Amino acid sequence: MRSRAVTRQLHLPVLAACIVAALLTPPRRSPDEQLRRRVLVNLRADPATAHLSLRLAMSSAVATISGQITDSAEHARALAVVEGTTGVMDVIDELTISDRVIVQRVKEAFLGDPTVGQIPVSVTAVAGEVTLHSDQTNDTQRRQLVQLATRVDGVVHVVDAMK
Amino acid sequence: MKPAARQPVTTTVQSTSIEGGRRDPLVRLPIIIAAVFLAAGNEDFGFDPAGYLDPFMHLGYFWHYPAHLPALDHDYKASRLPWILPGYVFHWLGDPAAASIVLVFATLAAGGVALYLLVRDIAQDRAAAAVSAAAWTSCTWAHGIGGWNYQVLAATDYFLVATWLAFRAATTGAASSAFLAGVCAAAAAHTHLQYATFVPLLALTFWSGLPGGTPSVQRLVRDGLWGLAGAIGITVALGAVNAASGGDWLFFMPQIVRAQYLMREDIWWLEARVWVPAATYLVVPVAFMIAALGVLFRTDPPERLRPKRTLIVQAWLALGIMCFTQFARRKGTLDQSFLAFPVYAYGFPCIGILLASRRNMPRSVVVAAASITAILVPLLLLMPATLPRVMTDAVTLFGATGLPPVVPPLAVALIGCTAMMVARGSARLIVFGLWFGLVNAWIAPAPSAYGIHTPGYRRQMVELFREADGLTTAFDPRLDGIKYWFPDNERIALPDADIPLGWIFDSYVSTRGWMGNLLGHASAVPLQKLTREDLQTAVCIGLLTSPRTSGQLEIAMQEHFAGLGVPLRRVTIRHLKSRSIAFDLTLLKPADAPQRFGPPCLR
Repeated sequence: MRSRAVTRQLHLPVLAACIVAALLTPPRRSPDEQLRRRVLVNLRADPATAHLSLRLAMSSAVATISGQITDSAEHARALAVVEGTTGVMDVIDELTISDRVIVQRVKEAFLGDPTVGQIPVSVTAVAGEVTLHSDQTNDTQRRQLVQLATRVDGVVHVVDAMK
Repeated sequence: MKPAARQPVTTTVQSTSIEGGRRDPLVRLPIIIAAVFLAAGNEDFGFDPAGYLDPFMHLGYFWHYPAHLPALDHDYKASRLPWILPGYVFHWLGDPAAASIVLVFATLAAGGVALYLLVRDIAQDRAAAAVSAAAWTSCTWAHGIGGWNYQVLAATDYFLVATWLAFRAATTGAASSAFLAGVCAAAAAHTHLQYATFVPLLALTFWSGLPGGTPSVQRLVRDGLWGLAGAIGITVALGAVNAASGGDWLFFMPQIVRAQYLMREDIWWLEARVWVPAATYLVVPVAFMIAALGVLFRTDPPERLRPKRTLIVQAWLALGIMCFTQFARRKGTLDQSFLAFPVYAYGFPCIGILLASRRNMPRSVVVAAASITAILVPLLLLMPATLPRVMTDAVTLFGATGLPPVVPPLAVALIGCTAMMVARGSARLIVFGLWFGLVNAWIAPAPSAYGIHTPGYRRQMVELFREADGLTTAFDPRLDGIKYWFPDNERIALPDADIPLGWIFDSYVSTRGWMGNLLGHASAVPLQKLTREDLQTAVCIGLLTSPRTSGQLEIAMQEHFAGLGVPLRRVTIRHLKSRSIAFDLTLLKPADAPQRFGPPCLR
């Protein structure tokens, strides 16, 4: 019974004192959160980035932007918008071009080339690393296919698994 | 109404038995005093100074406990979960300054409340309990080493609560008190392992509170098992939290392993002649314990005297345990202020016992208030400069300047104790307030943390550390890719005086594991001695400098490593600046390092 009485007596003054202590601390709205919101507003206001689904983290005015984009133009524009927001001091780039888009672009590049366009090639991509499979190629065609794939936006590395 | 017709109003603080009144407003006193210290507006109060390592390592755990766990789960500091987990939660909820203030407030107030309840119930004197609780909350050594970033005040709080609950379990027979006493005792031991050696003393506390006659075996076994259940319960709960966070179930083992190692060889252990002359941190508790010996010769009613005498004996047993470890086992327990703090856990209850009236004599609330005022005034009105200057002049006047620093305050404390014991009734409280207020302020480890609206830099420093922490965490999320370096001969300007840049460097890098993240594996390696090999574990170099020299030192660093065949490029630079303190943090990395996706300093 007494411990309940003590608890009853304690919790109100403790709460009051905590509030006093909190009030004594100068009010601090999170500057990072405010900055993050400003950057997101700017990204949505820019026609080139408004449709993108991007994630943004802010830590001591360092923006980390991540998500999937379709080409290097979007990439450059998104980075420019983040860097151009007043208050952002550094940007960490974690934007990637989606593997599905990369595969599609590689296939389009192959089809558009008259020398290798008709060769059946299987294309897979994981985190920008593209792997080419085919058993109907010669050395010249393989070099050409690897070269075409390497030029595609977002391709980080090409693995030649062709025969 | 004629003035003469008024009846004189006498307010008294009645002594109280444990079964006494339900309302006890004095229990709020430590809370109010802690709030007063924080409200006085000292920017340094409750914040640790630059140059400290351990408290800032703990601050790093508060900020990054999950991130630190994979690397530091086997570090003994990280195993103090009853303290680190609340710290992590508060820092997660708010900004670092607010979290530190709330935690300092909570630890100071909680210890004061626990002491009040313990003294009130053992000595049955609310005035004595209030004065001793006010002394605890105002104790400058509790502020210095007890700030939340050091673990000892939190551990001592847990132990004081455990002691009160053990006594309460004995007097009331409440199983819940025994259970909670076990919880708090285990929390104290997990937070600061020294308290594990005090656990047998809790059994004495329990025994002293039992009603007269031989206690039944059934009662002893029942309450003992409840206490054990509480201790095991909290240990299992903390183990579950640690395991769920990716650590070991046996989270407490690193502290035990560390203690065993130090028992074999403690490289920090000091000879008595080195530390005793300057051990001002022992003045207050030892003076309390010496004065309290008088209680052993009192002739109070036997039922009341047993818990009082037991507590005095416990205090000396606790000191004996620590002396045995210090002098016989040669493991440091008294030679550093923060290690010696458990002496306070029994020292302060001793003074409460001594101040208590023998036979429930009513005390004037005015007398208790005057005593508490005498304790607070030197800290609030005579600090940071006046009182230290006056005391230095007094020491000179008495020709005691050549004496070891511990002697003058100890002499004043013992004279004060003697005067206190000669005084009768309520005068004893006043005499105590006067001498304790004087000595407590005199031996303050950080005089600048007192006074009203005293400027400081520590709070701003923690806020800048948090900003630097956000920057480097974004660039190096695993906290092991940046290796830090600073120029050894630099100083940082503060409003009052300069401090070495190295103090700020050591404290900041302590928030990220310290030794493991030093470029060159040492705190102040000269630039010319840095080698290519020092870059093997570093993705980036973090260069901490004063704003004045950051540019030229960046160039010097780049030229040095270019000369070793590793040209560097700048990743970023941040100018960290507040009202009182400023420094720069520059991140560099090898110029030929491949550009890659994600944080640039991630290993």
